[in-house]
Amino acid sequence: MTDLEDRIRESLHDPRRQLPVWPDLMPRIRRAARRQRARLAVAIGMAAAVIGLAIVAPLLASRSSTGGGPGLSIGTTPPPWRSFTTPYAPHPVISYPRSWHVYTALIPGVVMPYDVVVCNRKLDPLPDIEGYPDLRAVPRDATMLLLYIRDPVPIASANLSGRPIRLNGKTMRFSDLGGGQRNWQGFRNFIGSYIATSGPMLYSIGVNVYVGPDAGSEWKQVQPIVDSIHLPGRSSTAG
Amino acid sequence: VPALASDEEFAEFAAGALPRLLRFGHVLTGNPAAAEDLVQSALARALRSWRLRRIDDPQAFVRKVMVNSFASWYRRRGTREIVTANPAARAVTEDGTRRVDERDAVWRALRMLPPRQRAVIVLRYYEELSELEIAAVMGTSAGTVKSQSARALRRLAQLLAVPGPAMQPTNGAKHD
Repeated sequence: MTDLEDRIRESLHDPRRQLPVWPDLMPRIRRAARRQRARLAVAIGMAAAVIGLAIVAPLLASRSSTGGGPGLSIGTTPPPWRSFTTPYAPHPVISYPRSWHVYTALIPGVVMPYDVVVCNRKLDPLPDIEGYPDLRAVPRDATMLLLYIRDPVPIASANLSGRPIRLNGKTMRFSDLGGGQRNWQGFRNFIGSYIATSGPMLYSIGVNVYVGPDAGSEWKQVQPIVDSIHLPGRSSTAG
Repeated sequence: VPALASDEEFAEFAAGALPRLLRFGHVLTGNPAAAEDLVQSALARALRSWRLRRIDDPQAFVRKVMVNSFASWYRRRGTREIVTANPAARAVTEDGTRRVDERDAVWRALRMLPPRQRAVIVLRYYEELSELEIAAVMGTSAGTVKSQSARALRRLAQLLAVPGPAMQPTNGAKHD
């Protein structure tokens, strides 16, 4: 193995692999930073839409399942999940406090990229996240939601029979929340996903809830979300 | 003006670190163009954080962003790398041909690894980081790093011991 390791080192340090430096270094970096800021602005707009849809979608599902009317119309193109009905009981309607702070965080994640952070405490500085959130910026009495859209995958790879499915290594349920709980830097982390399909692709909106160890009354504002996150075969993982 | 001074400091850091970052990007991605994109993106992000005074060690920050962005790009794009001959641009003498061939074989084998395994190998054998340091960069555990490293080394040993069709240099192959 030592010989192999030496060969690897020699190959990686091969002087022929050196790339030429850029003569316009800082203008180039500033242009890229401006593009990143522009993308961030777009992401903020999309995040607002995601939050709106996350609120409206359960409402639409519950209205259509109870025969309470024709349902709401969003623009001219129906969202992908409009044509699906969940095999599970409707979840509680989730209302997000208007006073929550909304941030965006571009996270080239170990697990997946997150698009928006909603927190009931102002975060200063913003969580600077590489992979998993750096919760040092989050007060211990805070509750934080992370919402994100995962890249679509071909529908053929998923089983939509109504049973829990495995997708990207996680257990999910069709048009439902499914997931689990773990501890992360002293925070309880609840994971769940909404799933919907459009054409040949399957989409998912992920929900991560981080609850600080000192969370107080504000915790109750997101408890309905956490209570609705459950592992297959268990009634609830909420603590 | 503090912000301006901060930008000047960042320019000084970036100019000094650029050759090493480009090279790190090249060994990480195996592709010069992807390496430039990765470095540019990571430096831009570092500049934004630098202005907010949120970076203690800019070199480590940029390296971390590069590694995680690299893995993330591959996952999001579902990239399947096509292995082609990729000799370095500079010409070599006859005497060095065999050694260069060997290095190129290792280089091609590295490009066949999954991105996170390749990142572990590069951080270990190029950056000479410990397992704990690699775990910190990649946001994972030392145990995961150890297992990924072992898997990567096993795979490399297989690839280099028994050259298959993809590993054999081909005459007239397209060079990048």
